Amino acid sequence: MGWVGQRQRATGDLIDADVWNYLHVDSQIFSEYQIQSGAFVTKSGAQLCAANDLVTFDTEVLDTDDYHESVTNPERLTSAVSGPVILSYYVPTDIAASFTLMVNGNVFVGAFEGTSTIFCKTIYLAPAAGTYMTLRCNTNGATVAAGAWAAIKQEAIGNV
Amino acid sequence: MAWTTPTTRTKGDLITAAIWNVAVNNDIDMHSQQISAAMVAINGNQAVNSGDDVAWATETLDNDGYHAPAANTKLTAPYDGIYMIDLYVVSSGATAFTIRLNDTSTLVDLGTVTTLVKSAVINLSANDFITLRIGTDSKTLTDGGEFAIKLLAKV
Repeated sequence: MGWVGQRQRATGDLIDADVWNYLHVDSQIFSEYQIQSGAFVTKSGAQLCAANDLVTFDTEVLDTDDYHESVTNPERLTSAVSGPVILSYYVPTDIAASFTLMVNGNVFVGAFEGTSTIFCKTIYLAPAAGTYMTLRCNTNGATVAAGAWAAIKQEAIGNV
Repeated sequence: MAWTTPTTRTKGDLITAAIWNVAVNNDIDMHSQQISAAMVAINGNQAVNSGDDVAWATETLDNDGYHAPAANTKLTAPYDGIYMIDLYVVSSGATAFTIRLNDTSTLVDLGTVTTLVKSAVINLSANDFITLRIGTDSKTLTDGGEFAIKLLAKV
């Protein structure tokens, strides 16, 4: 499925099933996906981290396309399709800590806001479908506050 | 109004007005509503003290009633949803900034900086309002500082 450029019709044109299905249904669903697809997840309790622990999120405020699950890998946000996304974290800690953004378990951006009691970062990524993003705490003994959140929003489909 | 997933048709089906109104009109309206955003700015240098909310006197964009000149410190969410906010504010010195929710709690602690350049994705309910609260006395914010908000997804 993809966006199909719309064409003007003239009086007397027949909108048959093929036109309806191809031009309207596919395009509308494609638009809806790009407009609405995303997830916003939070922590209901604090998390004491050892060095290199991954920050977990257990509460789904929004999850339109299974970006997150709370049982097996609650630390992950997994792309549903290929294409650019906005990825955002807000993670306060009790002591100054640094965090590393991981993509498929590999370091993507290390300690990318220095060392602080507030990790607040928003970036664009262009992951392939099935790519998962996690946030690694680099500081032993830092406690991530309840209410910390992570968000992912699909911005477009394809072009990766 | 809510998004309705359109259904495919087979040859010979009649597209009635009812089908058209729901599957075409409503869904297009729904999508147009989701292109919802505001950008406001500081007009003139602004002296601030701890406890002040930044005033945004200039409305660069507001297509969904986020900002009102009579209460120009606030951006008010029109829908339950996930929003992206973006801030660019220059101060005369290191200044503590927080995003406050409904004037009752801190939603995002933005730290203490002289130049605030920050984006965040936040969750708001309809009619929630956010303000940029100052936590440091005797600072001046530079003319043109900006605060933008865009609806990313309805919840």
